[in-house]
Amino acid sequence: MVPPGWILILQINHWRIDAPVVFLFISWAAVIGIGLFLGHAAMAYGDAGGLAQAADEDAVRSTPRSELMSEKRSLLKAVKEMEFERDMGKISDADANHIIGFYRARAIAVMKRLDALGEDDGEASVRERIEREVKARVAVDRRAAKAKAKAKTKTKTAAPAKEESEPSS
Amino acid sequence: MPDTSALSIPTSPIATLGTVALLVAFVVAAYATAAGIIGHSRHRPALVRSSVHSLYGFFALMALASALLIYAFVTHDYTIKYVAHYSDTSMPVWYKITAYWGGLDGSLMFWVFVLAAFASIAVKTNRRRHADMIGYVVATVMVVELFFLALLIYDKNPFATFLTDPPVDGKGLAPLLQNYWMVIHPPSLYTGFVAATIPFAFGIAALASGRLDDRWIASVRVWMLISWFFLSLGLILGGRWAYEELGWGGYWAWDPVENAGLIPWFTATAFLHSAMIQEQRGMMKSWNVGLVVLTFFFTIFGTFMTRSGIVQSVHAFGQDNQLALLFILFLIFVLVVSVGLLAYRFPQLQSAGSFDSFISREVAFLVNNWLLLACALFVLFATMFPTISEAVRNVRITVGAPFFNRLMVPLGLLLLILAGIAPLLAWRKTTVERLKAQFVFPVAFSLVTTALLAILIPATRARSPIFHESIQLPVTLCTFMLVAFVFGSVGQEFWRGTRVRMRQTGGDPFTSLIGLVVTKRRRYGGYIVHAAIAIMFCGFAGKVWGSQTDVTVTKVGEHFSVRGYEFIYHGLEITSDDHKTAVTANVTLLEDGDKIDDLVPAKWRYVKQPEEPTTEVSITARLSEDIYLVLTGFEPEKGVANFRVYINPLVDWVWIGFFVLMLGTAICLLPASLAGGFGRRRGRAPGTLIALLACGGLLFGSHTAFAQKEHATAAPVHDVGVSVAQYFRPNDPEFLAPFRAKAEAKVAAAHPDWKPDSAQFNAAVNAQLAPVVALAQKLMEEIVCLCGGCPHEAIATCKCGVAAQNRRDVLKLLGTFGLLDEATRGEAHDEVIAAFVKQAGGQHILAMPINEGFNRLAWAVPYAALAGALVLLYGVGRRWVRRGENQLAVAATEGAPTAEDEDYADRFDDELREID
Repeated sequence: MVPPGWILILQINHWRIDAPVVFLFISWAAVIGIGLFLGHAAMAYGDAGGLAQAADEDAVRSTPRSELMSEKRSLLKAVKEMEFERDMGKISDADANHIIGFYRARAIAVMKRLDALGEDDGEASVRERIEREVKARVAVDRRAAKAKAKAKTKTKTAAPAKEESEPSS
Repeated sequence: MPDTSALSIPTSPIATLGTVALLVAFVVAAYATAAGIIGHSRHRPALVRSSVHSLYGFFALMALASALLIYAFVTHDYTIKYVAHYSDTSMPVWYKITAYWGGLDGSLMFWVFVLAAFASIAVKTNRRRHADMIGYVVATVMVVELFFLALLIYDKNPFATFLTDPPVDGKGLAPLLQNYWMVIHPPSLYTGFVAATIPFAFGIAALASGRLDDRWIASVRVWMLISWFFLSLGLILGGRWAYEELGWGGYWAWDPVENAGLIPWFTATAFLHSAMIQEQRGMMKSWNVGLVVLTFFFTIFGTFMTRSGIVQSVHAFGQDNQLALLFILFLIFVLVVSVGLLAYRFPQLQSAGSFDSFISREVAFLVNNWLLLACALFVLFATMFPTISEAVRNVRITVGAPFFNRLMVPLGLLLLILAGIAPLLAWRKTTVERLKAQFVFPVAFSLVTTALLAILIPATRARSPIFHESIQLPVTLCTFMLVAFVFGSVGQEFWRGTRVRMRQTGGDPFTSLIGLVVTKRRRYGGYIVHAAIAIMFCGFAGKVWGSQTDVTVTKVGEHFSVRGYEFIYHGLEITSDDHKTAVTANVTLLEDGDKIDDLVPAKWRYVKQPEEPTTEVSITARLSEDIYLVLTGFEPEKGVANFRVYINPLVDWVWIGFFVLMLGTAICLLPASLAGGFGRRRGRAPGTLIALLACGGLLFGSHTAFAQKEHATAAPVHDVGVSVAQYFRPNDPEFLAPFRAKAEAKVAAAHPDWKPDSAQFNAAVNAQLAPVVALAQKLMEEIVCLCGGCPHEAIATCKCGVAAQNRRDVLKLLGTFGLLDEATRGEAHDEVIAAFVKQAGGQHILAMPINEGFNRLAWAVPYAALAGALVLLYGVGRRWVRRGENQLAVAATEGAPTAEDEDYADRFDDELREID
């Protein structure tokens, strides 16, 4: 819609581009924008009942969960920052470890509360539920990998032991 | 109903269309407000979406209105009053476009347009992340828009037309506004003001929706940083404009309009620091919301100050009591709503704050907030004090630059100390041993630099008053010492940070440095801003040993010298075009016999406004100092010309510092996506804004370079006679003659063996005369010029005839006293001041109110407020430190982790690895 209007303006102005033409271009683009956006606004208003539910899915509500998540994020940042401060030599290792330990303890408490809340999914948004699901699967994979690695190490350590024990037996 | 009301239907088609656009915009804004609020309160997201689209539509409507108004300017549609008043046919197109914001009506519409643009960008980029409060954001912005639109529609419609025949040609834009600095300075300052509405809207939306987590603070921080940047840009461009165009050799005069931009800058800076405490520690939520509200409040208050006429300024629009009343009502509304919402959500905003130690970054930020808020409130108080005095006692007084400098210089130096100290402190706690290790290099660097400067450049040792006239310290040297300390501190941070990064990644120093700055962009961008501020302080410090010299030349080819520079006068040149008549002096500047520049100071007289001639300065810019030449008067028939030469040391470092500040801000705003996959952080700034910053930088840079040779319009000056500027100076031989005779007699009596013409004798006489000259100079700096053409400049510096007359009166009055003994000098000072106050009918002739009676408030309140806030700060800090110590003690007594805890710890470590 915009280019035909501009062509018309240019034609009226004998194909010359000067300051008035530029501002007429902008005016025309604005007129199209007004129609477009106010049209969307009117359509959204008309749709107010039908789409309400779907749109609600996007919204992130302020819930105990989101507040706990936010606290956990703060603690993660704080630990990271403290590690950097320690590496920069601004804080002693002992002090840094003490404070990091304190953060970790708080973070673990928060994570436990988050997991406890996990049983009641009604409060969480779709996004939060997906995030949690992904994390849970990653955690399962990681535990499996850890268990595998542990088992491998056990076998490795058991094998030489066996080898060692065999001659003696 | 005023005839400028939008409801008086105009006749021009452009005016009709523009007015209809404004009326429709008003309706759309009202709908968007209602839709946003109802959408959230009744959980109808589609309504919220409708309000968002209405905001975009509103922006398009304002774009249409703006384009139509500019179209009317460029097509000379003089049926529209605003166009006829602020443009004429002969004006260049560029100035016709900028005439849009040249007057009150247009500037209000420009405000609405810029806010609509910013709000659209902010809502577009945040509508998903803040889906549960974006409707409130739209509603808040729209309420502000409704207020300004209501002003436009009711009384200030820029599309209002003449009821009788329109004029054939317009009046033309004021000469003051016809220069390139005025093309970019007002929009940048407006943008800073307007951008502060966005964090405010998010703040109010967070309060209304109850969502006060750190997601909110991240978005608000980004927009506050953008607002802060544009406020900085507006202030620095205003300074540059004043420096180049007003012809008084300075860049900052504590004018109320300048102060209006500075006050929200202080509160925005305070917020940018305290927001970090909230993000790091989850504390100070209500304080941060308060700062956001305060910053917005001050931007509206600043607009009110400049547009209502309640303060006197050469920059301000005229007095408008009706507008003032409407602004006051709106400000009250803003306060009531904000404070009400804050009170309602206060329980949610409370956090069990705790500090581990007084020696921590958190506490440094608290002190920083105290200082910045003190600066904001002091500047506000001092700016408003004349108005308060007039309202309470019906006595108009002047609060000039000396009053501001008395408190702002020490506060500025304290802020500079903090800019160096804070980077060296760790979050939570820094032990004394570590503190020593951190401070060794910056302190050593600072001391060595100070010693070298004191030895190599004796001028830096010059003493100047601080806090009180009796306290004379080498403020310049102290400033350089602190600047060096900041450089040392910031440099050390970069050095150590790079080394840590090298250890972590195994990269080379350069890659590690880039990686460090990009991953920790807020921290290191902030450090660059600290360094930039320190660079700017170098420029401020240089002012102390600047000079001002008035010279008269009577014939072509005459030479004169000022501080080692030689000037050769080649005569006056008179030229004219459709627009103006210009009288230009041609002067060659030499140093050690070598030519370094051609200077062309001039005076322009516009055809349309001959009563407002303008002064064009000519500047040779050097990193060490600027040579700044002003043509103060001339007689073309005789070839006689008066010049004023300013030598401004280090002034270019103010502008250089600003470039560095832009770089630091751009790094802070670097979007996570550009930061190379470290994108889990929030606070993504629109990439376009980064581009905008870069463009702004280029624009500013090109203009700064260009400005050295080009000369545009300047402030109106009085048509002066020859030599007026240098008439009646403290070293006037006629004034000093009787004192010299007495001093010679005194010296001869004390030392009969000295020959009268010997160097020893003359030195002793001059030593006797020096306090007399100093007293006259002091008085000339304390008394301001009330000519009306200058911003109450001191009579020592004002170039007009009124100032010269006042100087003559000062010398005449002083001549009646025997000034060679100290007691009489004190008495003479008071007598002269009293005589001037009596003659002027009030203390408004003084740069500072006399410290007596009601005026004591002006002196006492800032100090009392500072001290009170410091006590409060200490109380709060102590409480939080104790709480932190208790928490750590409790944590230390807790038992060893269980197996379950270890599992959680593993998960925690995994998540920790995901962030950089």
